[in-house]
Amino acid sequence: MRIRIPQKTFSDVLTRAQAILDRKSPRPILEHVLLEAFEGSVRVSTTDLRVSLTQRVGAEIDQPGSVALPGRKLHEIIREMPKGDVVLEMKENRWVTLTAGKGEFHLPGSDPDEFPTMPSPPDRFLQLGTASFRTMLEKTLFASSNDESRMYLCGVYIRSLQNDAGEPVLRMVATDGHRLNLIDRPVDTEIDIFRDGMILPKKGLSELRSLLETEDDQFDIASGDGKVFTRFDGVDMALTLIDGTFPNYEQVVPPVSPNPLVVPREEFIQGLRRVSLLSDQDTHSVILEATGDEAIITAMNPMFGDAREVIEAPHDGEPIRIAFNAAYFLEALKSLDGEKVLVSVGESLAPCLVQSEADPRYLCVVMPMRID
Amino acid sequence: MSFSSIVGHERPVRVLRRALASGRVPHAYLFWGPDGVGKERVAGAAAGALLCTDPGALERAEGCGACPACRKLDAGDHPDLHRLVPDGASIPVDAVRRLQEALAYRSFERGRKVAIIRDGFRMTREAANALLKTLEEPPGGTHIFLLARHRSQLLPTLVSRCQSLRFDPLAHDQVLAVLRDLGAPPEQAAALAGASGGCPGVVWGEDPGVVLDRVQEAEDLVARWDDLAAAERFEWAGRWAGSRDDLAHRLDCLEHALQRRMRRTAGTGRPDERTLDRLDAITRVRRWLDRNVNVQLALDALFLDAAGREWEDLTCDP
Ligand SMILES: [Zn+2]
Repeated sequence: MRIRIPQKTFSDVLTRAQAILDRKSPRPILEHVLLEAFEGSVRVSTTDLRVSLTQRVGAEIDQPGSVALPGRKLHEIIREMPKGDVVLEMKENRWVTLTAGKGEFHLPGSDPDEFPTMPSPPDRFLQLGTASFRTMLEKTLFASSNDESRMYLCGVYIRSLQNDAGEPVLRMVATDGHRLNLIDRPVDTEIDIFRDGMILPKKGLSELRSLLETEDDQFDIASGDGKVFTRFDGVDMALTLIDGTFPNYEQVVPPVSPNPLVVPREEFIQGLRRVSLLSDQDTHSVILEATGDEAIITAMNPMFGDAREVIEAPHDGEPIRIAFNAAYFLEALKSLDGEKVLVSVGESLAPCLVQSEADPRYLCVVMPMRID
Repeated sequence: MSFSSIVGHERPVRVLRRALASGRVPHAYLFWGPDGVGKERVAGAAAGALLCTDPGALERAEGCGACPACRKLDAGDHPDLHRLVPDGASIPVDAVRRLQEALAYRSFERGRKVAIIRDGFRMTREAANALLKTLEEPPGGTHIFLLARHRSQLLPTLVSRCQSLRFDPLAHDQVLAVLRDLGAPPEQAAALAGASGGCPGVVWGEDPGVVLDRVQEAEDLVARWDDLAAAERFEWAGRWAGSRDDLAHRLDCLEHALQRRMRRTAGTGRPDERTLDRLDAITRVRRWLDRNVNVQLALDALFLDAAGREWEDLTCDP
């Protein structure tokens, strides 16, 4: 195997691969990248068995071949090499020589057959809008859980369905048990691969989200063998689904109140931010009260003094008094668009619904806290 | 690893293969029996049948040995076979959590997922409780093989969630066959088999000379034990405590020597209480060794014939 590849191209590809390399796995091969040189291009593959990434880049192939190389070391070396071409050549016993300018490095390679077989995508791909899918991920990913003892919450639930108006929509839902975000976006036709709903892992979706920062309007997506496959710009990604049943989220989403509290979003954010500075550092608990034309935010267990913010907010319904985690509420407010947000509060300790006037199809639900 | 290459263990193998062929494979098995008897090899054979991609593999209850999945299993790197091995004397809760996280994903290849937990009795209480959750709500298409020396070493709640299969020591000829399969030269295989106590894994890879020395040492000890002076007994305990790497095997050899003595005296109609006490004491030393607590004390008690239960209660368990 002998290839010649521009340093910048190689370095970029390896940078992207770093996010996938498994550093805590008991399988050392997963700390490697697999390089496969064919006619005119090199395939660079990485997998942690949950996210699998294959990148194809153009290169001059003097001699085809394949080898697995320690991913982190390879990246560190290539990153520091001078601009221009890098020559990678495999010698005896899978030792690999990297040459650029006057520098020469040697790395021990491993048998490419030890590398897991990268998942092979099905024949049929569908096209989805890049911007819309990315927006949906941005509005849900942050609400998913990091609690590995409940893995079915450590991802985003994706499902295609018809909404109440009978239009086909793609839905994403994420929850960590304290809050829940749900977003629907219209699609041209039903996306059948998501008809039964599936839980996609957070780490893989974060990677996908950053890959979707592309100028292409559309990307390809497919599903099969317990995985979702995406393809664009010479990058193939496969996400292994999380097994398990997503909770019955529809029960958690409260109805929109006929008399919601209407709050200017930006003022709400600033007010909450200031009050939460003085709130309990662990619970971030703040109290929201609303009667008549005013909403008042106070810290529930002030640490260093008193905090109180008054915001003009018309409200026709019953007086409101609830406590909640300011951090969750802030994240929800920041993810909403538009100038005004609608806050629907039900019975005490019932979930609280926050949405934007501008986007009724994006719902943030925050569980209130007990007022002590 | 295939069932056809397994020597002995007829009953567990028969039960397993019947379950595999029926397609109704329990989510969790507990394989229990002495160290080195072959539990992990049998679990590996079951994993082969479960993970093989040949469509007839399950019905045949045997992996094909040729498909990519079987080749990966043989090479020890199948992505859907998860092995949990103790880190030193224990399996901490973090290790169980990592396994659970791995099992929470769908399989990487298109089939089932298998987990093999070696020395399951080494799980800390927290780890065992964590695993219990998985056994209560097993992820789909997942099979867990929990291996241990004895059922009583595990939480009863864990045991009750598993189908138990007992593994007995192999006959001399069978050990010999296993060792030959593994590539031991015939003259060495005979010596090693004699010292294995029916558990080829205990002696495989050991130097036959050393193994035979240990067997001889154990025989000598059993013959002279009653006549040893206190100072000599302390010396024995000190020597054994000083070589922790060999201790497990020395204990095995001593246990076998004591069992042989029991068999010799069985016809006399007089129960050999002292030998029984010594066998109990060996079990106790092993337990202390597993828990990584002061083994010297347990060895002193063994050699001084002082290891009563009350004594242990006083000095050991918190
Ligand atoms: Zn096979």
